[in-house]
Amino acid sequence: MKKLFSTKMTLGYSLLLLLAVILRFNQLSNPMLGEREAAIALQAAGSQTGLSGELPGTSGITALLGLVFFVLGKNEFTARLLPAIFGSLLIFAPLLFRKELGDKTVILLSILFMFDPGFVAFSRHVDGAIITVCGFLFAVGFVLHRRYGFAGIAAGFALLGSSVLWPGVLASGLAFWLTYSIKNSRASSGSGETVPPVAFEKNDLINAGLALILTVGLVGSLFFTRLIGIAAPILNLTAYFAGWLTSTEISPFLILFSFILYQPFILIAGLVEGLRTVRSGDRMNAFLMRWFYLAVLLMLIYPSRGMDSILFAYIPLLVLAARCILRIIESLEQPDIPAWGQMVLVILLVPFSWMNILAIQFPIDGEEEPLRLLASAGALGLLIVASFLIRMGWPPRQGKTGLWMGLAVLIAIFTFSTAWRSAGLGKHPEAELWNYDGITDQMDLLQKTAGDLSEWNVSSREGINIVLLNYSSHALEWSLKDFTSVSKDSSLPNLSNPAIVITADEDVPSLAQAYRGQDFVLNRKTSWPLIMPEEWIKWYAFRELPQETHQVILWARTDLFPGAAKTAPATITPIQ
Amino acid sequence: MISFLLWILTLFLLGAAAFPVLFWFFPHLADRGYGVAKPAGLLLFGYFYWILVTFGILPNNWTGVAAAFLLVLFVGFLAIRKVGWPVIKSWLHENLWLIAVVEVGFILLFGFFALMRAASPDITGTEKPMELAFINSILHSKVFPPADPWLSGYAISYYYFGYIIVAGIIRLTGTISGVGFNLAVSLWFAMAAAGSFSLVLNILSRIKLHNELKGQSVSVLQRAGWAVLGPIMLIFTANWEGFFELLHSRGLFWDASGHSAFWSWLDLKELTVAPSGVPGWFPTRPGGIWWWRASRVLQDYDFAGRTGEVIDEFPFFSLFLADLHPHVLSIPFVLLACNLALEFFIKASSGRQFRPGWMDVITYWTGSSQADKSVQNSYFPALEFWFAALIFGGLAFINIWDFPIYVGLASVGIVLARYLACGWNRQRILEFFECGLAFGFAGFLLYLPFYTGFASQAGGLLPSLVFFTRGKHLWLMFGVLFIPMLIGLISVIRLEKISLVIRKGLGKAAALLGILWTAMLILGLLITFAPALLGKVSPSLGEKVTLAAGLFMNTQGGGPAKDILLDSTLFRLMAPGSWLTLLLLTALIWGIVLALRDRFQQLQAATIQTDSTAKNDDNAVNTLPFLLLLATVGLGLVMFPEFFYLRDQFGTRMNTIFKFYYQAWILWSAAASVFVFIFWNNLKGITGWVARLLFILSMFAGFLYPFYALVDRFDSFSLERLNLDGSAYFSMAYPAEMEAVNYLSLAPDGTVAEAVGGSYTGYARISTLSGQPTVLGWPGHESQWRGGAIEIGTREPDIKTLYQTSNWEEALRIIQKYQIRYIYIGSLETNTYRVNEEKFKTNLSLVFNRGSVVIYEVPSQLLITPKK
Repeated sequence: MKKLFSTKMTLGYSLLLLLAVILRFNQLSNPMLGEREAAIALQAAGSQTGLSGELPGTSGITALLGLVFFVLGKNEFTARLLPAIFGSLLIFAPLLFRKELGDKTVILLSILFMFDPGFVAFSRHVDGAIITVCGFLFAVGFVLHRRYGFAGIAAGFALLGSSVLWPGVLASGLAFWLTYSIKNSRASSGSGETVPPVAFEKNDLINAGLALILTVGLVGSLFFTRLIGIAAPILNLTAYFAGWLTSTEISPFLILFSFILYQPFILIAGLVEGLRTVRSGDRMNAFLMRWFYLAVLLMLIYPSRGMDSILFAYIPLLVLAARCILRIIESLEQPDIPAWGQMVLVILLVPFSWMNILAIQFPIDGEEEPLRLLASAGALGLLIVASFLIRMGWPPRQGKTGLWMGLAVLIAIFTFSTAWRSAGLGKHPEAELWNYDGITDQMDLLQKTAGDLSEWNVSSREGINIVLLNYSSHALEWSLKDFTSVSKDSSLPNLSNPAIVITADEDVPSLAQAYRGQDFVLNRKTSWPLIMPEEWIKWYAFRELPQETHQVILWARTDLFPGAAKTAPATITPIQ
Repeated sequence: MISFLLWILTLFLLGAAAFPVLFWFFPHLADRGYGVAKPAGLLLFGYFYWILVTFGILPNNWTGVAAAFLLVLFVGFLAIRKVGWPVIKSWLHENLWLIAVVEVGFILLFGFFALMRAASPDITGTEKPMELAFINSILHSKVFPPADPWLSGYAISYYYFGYIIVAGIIRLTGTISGVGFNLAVSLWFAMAAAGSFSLVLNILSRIKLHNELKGQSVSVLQRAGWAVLGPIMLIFTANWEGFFELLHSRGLFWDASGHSAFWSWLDLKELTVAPSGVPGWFPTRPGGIWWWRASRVLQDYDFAGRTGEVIDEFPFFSLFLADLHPHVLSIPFVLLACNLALEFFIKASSGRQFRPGWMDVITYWTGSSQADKSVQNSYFPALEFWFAALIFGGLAFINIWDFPIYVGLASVGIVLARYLACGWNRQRILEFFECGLAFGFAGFLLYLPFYTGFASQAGGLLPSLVFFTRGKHLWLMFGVLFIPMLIGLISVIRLEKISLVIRKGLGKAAALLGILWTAMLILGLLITFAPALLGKVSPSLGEKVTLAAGLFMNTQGGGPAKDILLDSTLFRLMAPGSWLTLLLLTALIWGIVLALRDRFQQLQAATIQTDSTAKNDDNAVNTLPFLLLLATVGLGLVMFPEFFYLRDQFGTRMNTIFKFYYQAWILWSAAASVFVFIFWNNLKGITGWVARLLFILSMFAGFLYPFYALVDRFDSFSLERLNLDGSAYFSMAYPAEMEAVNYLSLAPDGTVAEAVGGSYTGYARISTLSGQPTVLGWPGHESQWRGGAIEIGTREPDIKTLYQTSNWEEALRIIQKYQIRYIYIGSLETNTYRVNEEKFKTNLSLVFNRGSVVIYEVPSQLLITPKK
């Protein structure tokens, strides 16, 4: 029996999977859940009372997360587990398109998927976007392989995941239709062969439909314990429509700019490949370019855009980039000593030049700018001269090979570094665009502080009475989820004396007894709208940008501290 | 303006989605249901919204409502696939004129009424606050059934489906509820017109007249022109009270001493008093509310001579009053149900697809008979059956009184068609019960979650011994419809046969009347003697029944039972106008059916030969019998309360008259419109001209009331003052209170304590406008809805104590008892109670303070009741 994959391919994909898992699972518990993540997690944990309190478009992911929580418990790791799993599985999606794309493109695509910063970032968010992307790709792939049952299951997950499915389906569907109808209309006028329409038998549709319905019905509803999940697909659609009526502060240009920030080489490669389409008339490229443009256009005009709005645009862009990279690789020859030498020069001199440029932008005291300029220009000049000399002395293609090899190494390092940072593993995760709303910072400390106070006073780390006074934060509620006596109030009865009161930074509650307060940073966020153009270079190099922080104050009754005389119970009691 | 346009767009889309469904299920109607597509779309939308939120599948927010809307579009898409788009497209192309008439008419009427509402938008007075309270509560509730806004801790115990539909459209279009309320009234006005046009057109399209068999014909377009009478008679015509207002304003029939035998005889309250001032052409009244009287033309007298109020509203009045009450909300859906009944009638005439078939299934599975495949083509297709059940069940949920009426109409229509086609036998009875029970049960099943929480105030049937409608009042109320119906009935048959018809029908009609009369007396006797009889069996039961019987006799006026029973007959004999009119109508209709049964079969056969070679071709079905059925059902609705009424909290037949007369008006307005077409086109010569003149005079008298009402409304019309927001008056009059309402509507959910007072007042305003439930709103209404005051308990005195007590512990107990979260203190609270605010200041947090309005919030910690 013929093996589906060669041994090399199997080993290669195993390695890829390992890398993907490392990128996606490493320190998955950090940081603590952000506002939106915590809101979804709280819904899944059943803490959100009332169905209409749910965030729009989160019914499906809430159901999926609820299943995980039921089996594995509620914590940061389990909350992000499903997106991490689907994000890791995404690298296998291209394998379903081997016939259409070719083995080599598929392998390259899997690598690109693995390192794509957007995919990596959303694989570590409590969000259904990556589940939707993964489900969509697998659904289409299985349909092409005529495995309709699996396609239905994958489509079910795609429908449950997130409302980003709908603009994705719209863009890809429209692109497919435009490509197909234009192709066929040209064919009917005698300029090419007709594209046969995709044919389905009734049984296939029934199989797919049944699998879809079962997936949505069973999984979405958490086996009929949470019926709202059944309507998740349509609620995601209406949430998408609702997004046309509201707006976010994320600028569309910032999202467009993110291509340059995170994917400059992929963007260039993809656009170059797309431009080739104009000359070559490649149908696949035409479809992919149209898909990309439509996805970007939809993102630009959509008022409620978020960073997940461009995930579907990445798919065609990465495919185009993979095709471009493959073409470049195939145009190179076997490297010899000159090529290796060229590669070394590139690896050494380009970063040297870049670091000197950075030093010009961010000078160290006492250094002279002209020297840095000279060094940077000199390095580049040296590279050009050396490349010219190599070209003169050896076959030109060796020089070209060496140049591309060197650039490939640098791009790989850049890509890996970007992916690492996008995973939130860098020094400043709050400076990543993927964390546009910031990250939760010191809630683990707050949790520990409250836990210590609880342990000192009620012999349990979760039993102490905590009141969130006139402050609403899902992240805060999530961090206190294990405490059994947490209440939210906009006011406190006079003469009341809860053990712990948490307020916003600027609020000082009027409490009957003496309290000690400690501030904790709840959220650290980059002030994206205020960034000046020159600051982007600093971001590019160091990921350092002006930030704003939101703090809360934990007020603990003085008598809770060791050595103080007890004045009141630390657990909740009716007011006397 | 934007809201207005959004509503038009939304209704257009819902109608467009529902039309393919109706096109599929109404193949025999001339307009294929186009005129009732919007109510059908609203029904589907409301059903999906309600049922899916009830089961927790959709959230009660914009995305949930939008999902329900998308589902309706999806259903429409499936229907198009089933029927075939080319078929629908071809029909639309051929009937563009019809679409234009319906849509343009709809928009114009919607706009006109919105203008009228904008001239007087206030949601105040009568029961408008109640309706707004329901709508706001539905919008505010996270789950269904929605919270009762006027009895915290309970769900609404009323037929609230109409409010679900209104709230759904409000939420979907992002309208504020104050504007949505007025747009809803206007929308229902327009939909009623379109629905009536549709029903009359569909009947007219298949009416076969004598002269048509002789080669003369009335084209479809001409019939459509006549169908415009439908909406005119339904919503632009009133009873004759307006005409008598004119006579009264002119000072006619008064003698010098200020007495009038005429006005005393007519016995219309307020009009029995001589007019003051100079005679004019427009009615006036101290206080300005002259227009109320038209809804109270009937007078009931008990045995002691005391008058009792009887409500006899008609559609124009209700819409003018702008009460979004269930009987108003149901109008478009009633017309949809009538079209459905017409479709069933036509199908049943051909013998195809008119039976639910469950009885056959039971008899088959119990081995009583072999399965007969040949009868299976008489079964409803499943989808069609359930769609019908959805309509009928929806009527129950909107206005429960309508449910048995229109299930009955449909079932009797099927039986009538079968009777005319196959004659009378036992099978007809089985068919009636088969249809009635099937639709009834299926309609009940589809709306089961509603019934699990519903408590009705209705409790049985009582004989209307003393109360009956005087003939003058019956004619005053329905004369505008009686005239065309009588003339039309007479013109259906040749004049020389009238006496024959009357003789045939009179006996049966008299027998029917006699049976009802006798049944009433028997029931009266039972009530009289039951206490004594039951007392012998069980003294305690006898005591209870004696009490109930005594209460009943008191409502009749007190006095010896024997006298009441005797006098109930005597009074009727002395004032025979009403029952003689009903007897005449019954005799005419019955006589026509009997005398012309053979004629019908000849007509069917002749038209079949003329129009088609197929036997039992349903294209040849004449809708004249259905027309007579509409008139008969209306007759039944008017006749029934002459002898019986449904027992409720009022203890009189006021509510029964109200609900039944209203439906009679809807049915008779459609019937009368068709009868006008008949006699106008049939009667020739002097007879014809006299008939036309009578009709015109009658209509003139019926148009006066709407004319005066519109003049009154637009009297102080000013473009600058136009405003659709029905709560704007509250903002202007009480700006601080409105701010407080806005605060509460956005605040976390919780029970509000506010002052408790009587119905039809400003009490319960905060819960009405904010959507947050209050401890107790209008006690009288709550008591009606729940059939008693058990749930109300001691809420009213407790609220009084809460405000007045100086003892914080006592106040806290009340707060914890009702889980009050917000304590509202405004002008009404300070005027109603001696408010002791100190305890709130000391123990609660002040969360709102504007002018004279304060709101205290109870911390959640205080709402935890201490364990004992």
